[in-house]
Amino acid sequence: MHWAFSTPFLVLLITGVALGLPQTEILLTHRDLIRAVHLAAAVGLVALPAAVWLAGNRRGLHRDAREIDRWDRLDWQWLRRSPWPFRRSALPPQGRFNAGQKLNSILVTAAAVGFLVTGVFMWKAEAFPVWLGDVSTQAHDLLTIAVVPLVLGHIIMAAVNPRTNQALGSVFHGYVDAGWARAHHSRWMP
Amino acid sequence: METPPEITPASPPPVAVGRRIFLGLLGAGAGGLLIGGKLVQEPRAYKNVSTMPVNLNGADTIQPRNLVFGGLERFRYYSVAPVPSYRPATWRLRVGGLVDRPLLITYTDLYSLPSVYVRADFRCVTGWVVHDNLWRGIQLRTIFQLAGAQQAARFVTFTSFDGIYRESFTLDQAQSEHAIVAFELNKRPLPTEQGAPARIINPDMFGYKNLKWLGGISLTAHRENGYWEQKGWCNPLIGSDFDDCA
Repeated sequence: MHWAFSTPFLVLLITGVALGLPQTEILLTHRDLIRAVHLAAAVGLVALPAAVWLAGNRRGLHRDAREIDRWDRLDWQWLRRSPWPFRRSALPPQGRFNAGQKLNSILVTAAAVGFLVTGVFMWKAEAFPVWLGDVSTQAHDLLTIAVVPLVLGHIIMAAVNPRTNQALGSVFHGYVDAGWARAHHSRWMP
Repeated sequence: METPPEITPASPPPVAVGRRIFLGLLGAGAGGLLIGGKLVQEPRAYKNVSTMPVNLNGADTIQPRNLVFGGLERFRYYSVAPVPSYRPATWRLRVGGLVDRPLLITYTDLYSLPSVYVRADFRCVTGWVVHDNLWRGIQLRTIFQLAGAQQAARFVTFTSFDGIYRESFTLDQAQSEHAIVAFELNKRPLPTEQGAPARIINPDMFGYKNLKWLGGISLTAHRENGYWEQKGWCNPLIGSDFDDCA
């Protein structure tokens, strides 16, 4: 599910920034091609996760969604103690997802809905009132500005930060070090 | 080593926080769209046009009035070819087709021919808009008079010196008092990406009909389809203007 969502999302982000930045958009000579990739990736952003849900382990996905939804005192504590690198304060034990991962998945999913809705208003602008296309274009821009630091933060946490970077391998091969899981995700009971 | 955290055994049960954040964000987003929609002032949309003589003192440039989104209000530069360059000394606007006197308009002619200010919103078919632009340009009807448009002329084809882009108007659309060959935006010469040295501006029509990097104007008896129309693209909003779209 992670890659079914994040691959089209990253393609959309890269092509979207290329289409939207004033510095790059005047350089683009194949604007229609990049636009086509952007639209195809938008279809993928809906279709790929839907396919994973239909064909995959629905019970597991449901359990994950439930875990992302439910927050307790220790999740808030985890966020408050802030998992920044090289801080000494101990982090409370987490479930399968730490509170940062939960927050990221909620924010990025909400952003995806916002992108899709405003994107449809831009794509089929002639079918909607003019103010809606206008506002949607600007909201699409604002969402992009909001989402770039979120995605960068997520990647830095997963790949660089020594306190959380054990998670990086697991999203590729599906396994985590048992000792690390006990230390950081001790409330994870699959 | 991290010290183990103290855990109170009797933790309160987890609360469904995730869905609240998620739904709250969606609600805030929908509200933001509606409030933003009020702020972009729909009633002004699309027909906020006025034409005035160039010597009018009141023709000042106006800052964007839109408080929330105004900071983001800007032109987005769409081009189908690499942005072409030109030299003022060699640039020519050819006026031909069904005219009695074909013209070659030079860069300095732009400033010496009678021109007008057109204040208007610029609206792209993809949704974005830039309000209250002040364009200076020569009315197309002035050019048609100079060239002597023939009775048989019904349409006007514009070509860009990028060698690719083209557009066409009906003669009626081109005769509008605010259909101009624009060479200044907000009292400055057009920037390169705005179609320098001259472009078509007709605020009655979406941005893609407002051809940039103007190189030729030709009067014709039959419609020659524009770049997007040749690709099978029609705009349902403008209806009758697109009769001859495939």
